Amino acid sequence: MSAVNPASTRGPLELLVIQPTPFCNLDCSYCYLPDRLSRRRMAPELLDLVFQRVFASGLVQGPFTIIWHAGEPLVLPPSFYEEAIGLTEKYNQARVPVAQSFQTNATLIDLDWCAFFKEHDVRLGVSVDGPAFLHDRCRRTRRGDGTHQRVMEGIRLLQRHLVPFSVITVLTEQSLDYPDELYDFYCQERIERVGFNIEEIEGPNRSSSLQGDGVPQRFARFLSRFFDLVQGGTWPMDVREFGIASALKSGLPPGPPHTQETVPFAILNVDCEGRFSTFSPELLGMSSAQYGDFYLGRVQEQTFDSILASDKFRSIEREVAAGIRLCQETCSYFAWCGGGAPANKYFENGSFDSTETLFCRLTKQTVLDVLLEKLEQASFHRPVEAV
Amino acid sequence: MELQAGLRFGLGPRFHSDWPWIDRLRLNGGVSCEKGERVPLPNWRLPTPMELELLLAGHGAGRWERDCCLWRLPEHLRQLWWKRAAEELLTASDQLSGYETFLHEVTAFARFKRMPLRPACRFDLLARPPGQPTSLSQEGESARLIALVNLGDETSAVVLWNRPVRQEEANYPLVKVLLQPGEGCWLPEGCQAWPAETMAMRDLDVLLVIREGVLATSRQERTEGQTEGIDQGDKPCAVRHLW
Repeated sequence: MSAVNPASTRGPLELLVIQPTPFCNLDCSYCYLPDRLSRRRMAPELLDLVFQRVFASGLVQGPFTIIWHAGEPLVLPPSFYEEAIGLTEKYNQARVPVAQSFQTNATLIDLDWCAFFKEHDVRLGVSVDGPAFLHDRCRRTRRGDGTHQRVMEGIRLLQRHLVPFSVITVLTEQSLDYPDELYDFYCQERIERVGFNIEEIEGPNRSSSLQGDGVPQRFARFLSRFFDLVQGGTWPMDVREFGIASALKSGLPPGPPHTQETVPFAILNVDCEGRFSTFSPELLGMSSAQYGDFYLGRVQEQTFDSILASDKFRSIEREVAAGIRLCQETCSYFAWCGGGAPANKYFENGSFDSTETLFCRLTKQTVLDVLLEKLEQASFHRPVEAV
Repeated sequence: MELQAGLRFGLGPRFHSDWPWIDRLRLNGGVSCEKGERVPLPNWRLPTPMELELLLAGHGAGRWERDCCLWRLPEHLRQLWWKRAAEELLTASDQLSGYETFLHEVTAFARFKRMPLRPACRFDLLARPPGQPTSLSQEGESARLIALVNLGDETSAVVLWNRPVRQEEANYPLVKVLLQPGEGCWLPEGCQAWPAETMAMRDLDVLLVIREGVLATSRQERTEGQTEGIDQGDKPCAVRHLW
């Protein structure tokens, strides 16, 4: 069976993950990011070099997204990002569409940020875990205080100034009993776009509340209930996990699905010191007994393509590809999933060359199972057309 | 008389409330007898710490089969009641499709929350104007009361004793449980509760009352005085409204 990702397939760049600073003003219990207390920030000259390297690399062959991540991006002022956008335009000779994306905890949003987001048509994601009693369980300050009130102030400011945003809610074991309460929260707060992440086993987080017995079944019940609420409700809610339902109606596409995380340099991750990696963004800053760390080089010293021949890159690439082949050979969900997320495989199973994880059991297998069940129910109850 | 140990109150499993029990519970001095009826004395007060300890289940967490459990209908279902069902019931309409939809959704919600809602149960609507006193009577009602939930827009309440009370124990305190819009009480077997007075209310007090019922095997098997039955199986089997 041929490899899904032959060695010659690198890029094109789809997602450029840049860490402006590792610092975060919150201390969420499930966060995997290391160094959240570090106030280092990417120097202007390094920022310049990053964009120079990216646009000169040959990886840019079409539209891509820059996501400011791996720390709370709003800790740095809008002027930092204004400069970054200017550099993007300076080096983007081919005028390739470049989207700017921020994932924020929303506690630092003010009028200046609202103006910035609107001016630059930013794709904004806000992290909020539902009503206060769910959100404040895990999303707390370093003093242990809840953050829900501040987050909602930020959200309402965005809404008053007509800044579009989507919400990411991290589901923990406790969340699974409250789909109705989550639904009510999104409706009452007039949130239209929702995505569910799960509490993952990554980096320093060696366990998840979702590991317990019976969780997949409860997760399925949660998704099923939430699906019914969205379908039966009047509030226009776009749920990321349900977005492929319409595509499923026409059947899964032939050939393996495209997954950014498993294609070398489809995702390029750069930390605030200029160290870069590829594959899953979650690998940025993590250490490994096998690899030391997952950095492939430094922007100050190497170009991106210069590391393609390095033993480290080729070893990681081989192992990721082997894991994908294993998934293809053994997993009935491969046509839907495409081989999983390398970071989850590594942190859960200890190797990229592995298969099933908690992450894929819940976010791929269970999601697909629930959606297929809903489609079958809808088909069963559709009136039979007259002959 | 002093409050004694008996029925405990707690939050139903898989439910949440931000309202402390100390703010939600009231006790009084018992009942008086007026025109042959028992009427709660109006001297409601906050429970003492010791009384609170007697009344609350461990850590405030209730068990459906043992405690009086607080639960909450999600706001989208309470709105479904007002938007689809209320007019049908409150105008005694012959068409009950909105109400049936509402009850179907309530049972689906209860099923998800793994509440011990049995396949055969009866849903009644109790709508009372402001200024109504509490009535501790049980006229013509033999079906066990399972739960009540406040569908209105104001805080409502139910009253109950936390243990069986003999006729001569007129000064044993009643317990009043305040229920915010959407909140309800789930009652274990052997427990009786009554809707509290609506003296201080400005608008209609609307309670959904759930009792053990008899499973109707077809839509034709209706007893006189009841409105149309709903499908068999694990759906509510009959509805009626009370004034």
